[in-house]
Amino acid sequence: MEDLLLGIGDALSPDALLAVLFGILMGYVVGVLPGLSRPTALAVAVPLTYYLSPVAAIAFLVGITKASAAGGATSAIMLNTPGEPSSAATCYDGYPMARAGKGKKALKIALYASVFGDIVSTLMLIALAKPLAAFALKFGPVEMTAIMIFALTFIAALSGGSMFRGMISGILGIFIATVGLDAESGTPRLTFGMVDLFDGVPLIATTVGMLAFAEMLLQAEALMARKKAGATEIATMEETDTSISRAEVRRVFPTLLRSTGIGVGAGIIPGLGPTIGAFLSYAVAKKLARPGDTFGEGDIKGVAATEAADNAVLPASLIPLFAIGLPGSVSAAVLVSAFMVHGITPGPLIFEENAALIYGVYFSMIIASLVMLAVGRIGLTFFARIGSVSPAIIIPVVFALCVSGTFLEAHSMFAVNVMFVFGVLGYIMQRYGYSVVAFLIGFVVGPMFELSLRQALIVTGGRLDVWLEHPIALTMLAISAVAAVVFMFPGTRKFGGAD
Amino acid sequence: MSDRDAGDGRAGRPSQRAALLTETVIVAGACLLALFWIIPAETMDQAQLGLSPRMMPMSCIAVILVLTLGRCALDMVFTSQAKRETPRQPLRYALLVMVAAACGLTAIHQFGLLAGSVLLSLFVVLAIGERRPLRILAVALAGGAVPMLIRTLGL
Repeated sequence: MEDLLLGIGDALSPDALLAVLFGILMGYVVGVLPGLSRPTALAVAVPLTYYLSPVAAIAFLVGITKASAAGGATSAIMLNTPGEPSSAATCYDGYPMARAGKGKKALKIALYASVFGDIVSTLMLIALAKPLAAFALKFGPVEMTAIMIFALTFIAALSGGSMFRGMISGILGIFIATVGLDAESGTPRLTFGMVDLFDGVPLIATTVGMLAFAEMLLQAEALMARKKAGATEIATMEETDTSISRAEVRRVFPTLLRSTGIGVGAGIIPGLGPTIGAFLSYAVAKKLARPGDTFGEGDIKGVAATEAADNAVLPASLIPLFAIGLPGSVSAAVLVSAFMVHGITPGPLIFEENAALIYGVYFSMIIASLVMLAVGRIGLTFFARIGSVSPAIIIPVVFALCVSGTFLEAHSMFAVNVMFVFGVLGYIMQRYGYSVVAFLIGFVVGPMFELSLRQALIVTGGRLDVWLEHPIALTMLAISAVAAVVFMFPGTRKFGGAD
Repeated sequence: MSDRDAGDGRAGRPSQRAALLTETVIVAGACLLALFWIIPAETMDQAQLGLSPRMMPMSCIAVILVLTLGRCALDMVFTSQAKRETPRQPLRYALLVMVAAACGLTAIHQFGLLAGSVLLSLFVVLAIGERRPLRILAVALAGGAVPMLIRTLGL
């Protein structure tokens, strides 16, 4: 009870509330701008949280994530250009609504659906994370190793164009995480005599390089290739229908509930992420269409389905993160780095060691949802206009932000150079179809995976029959093996791009 | 039946096979380099306690090598021509921006974070083809704003 009150107090402190507000504003801008993605914004924002309290820092980042998911719908509806990949499905019904003079109505539906999905998913997180963490505490190293292999297999399978390339990316991430002093013996590994590498490859520099810097290289490349791109104008159709009736609310509500459930599922299962969640939700809503539904021609159920699912993913993806320390998406992986910056390691022990912080984060998430509702409602038409800012302005500014943010990590150019190297590596990986998402998750869970694997090898003594005493681990490994074989062959992968 | 019109889903044109083989040779070559030279040179073989510090890096690279060879073999047999043909932008665009960014980093080394960030933004905005003076000025100012804020706040 004391922890709960302390957490609520932290969440209601002025710096935490301001952090939420700034996070929401920044998230909306990021969501609206087609050139900036959610992971990019998160990666750039993590260094800005060094000087915030842990609750304010996480609240700031959660605010960005939530609002970027909601903001992505704005440009999807008004410009037919999704601000986020996860909002692409919103174009199907949102843009036809805008063309029919119902743009504001579509924006309202998208906002309310986002807030609904978000709050319900946050409540699921609050209800499920702690019991799951208590259960996870019973796991030994053998089970933890098997769970991480299971998660990495699914992330590799679903996060890119090829299962092999996804697995190679994830394992490369684990390999890069081995750089630094060996945890057991304390001897340097792969440091090339550089003292700066004794603590390992800097986490923030790697994240910023792989996500933000590489993304900007790709954006710049695309911009330069589109030599004379036609300027997209904001839709200026005369608004004929802006309000939502009670009958429409009743009509949409079952879709909202179902889509939120799908979003929660996509968040909990590693590797799925908001894009798959949103498309899956739209597909299910369309499949269950009733007579009179006009999916694809401007149906509010289509907008509600994608946005509720999109926003339900992030809170749900924190369930495995808090329960077993496993980030299921790249946004969750970036949040891990934010936790680590503040000396906190996500995992089952977090509820015992940092209970007040977790309650503070929960409460901040609820506050962020309400602030998102208020900010989104007030700035409905304003945010729609931000989408027209030229990428030629955004790209160089984000480059400068990458450098400044990385420099802040250690006030040294070493981290900046590392960021540049990983930015180039991230660009090459994305260009040739290697998953940056799988790499980063492998990199983040690498130390934990190595520790669990080593402990598991010592516990089992290298004997295979000992594994029979660990049915959970055996089941996980069997599912991973089947999934790997199924996904290895072409034609079995329908989706791509977790988060 | 030629490779081009193979309708059974096998590997497509010779250029695609060559690209696949080149990628495999590069990745597998890097793995072999790591396995037989870099990792042995940069890690201890035996620790005084616990497992060898070399175990994890070696295992990772060995698995990457196996996966690379496996992927090459499977793609040669199964991947359809249509799936392989993914259009990419010319590499020169990204290379130009990378060079601009590298020049910006050198400027930061030489002149410090504030002036260097302004120059970095300038180099990048010019590299991506922006020539309107007002936009260039706005970008340069925005690029310097964050380091200026860091300095002002004493972070």
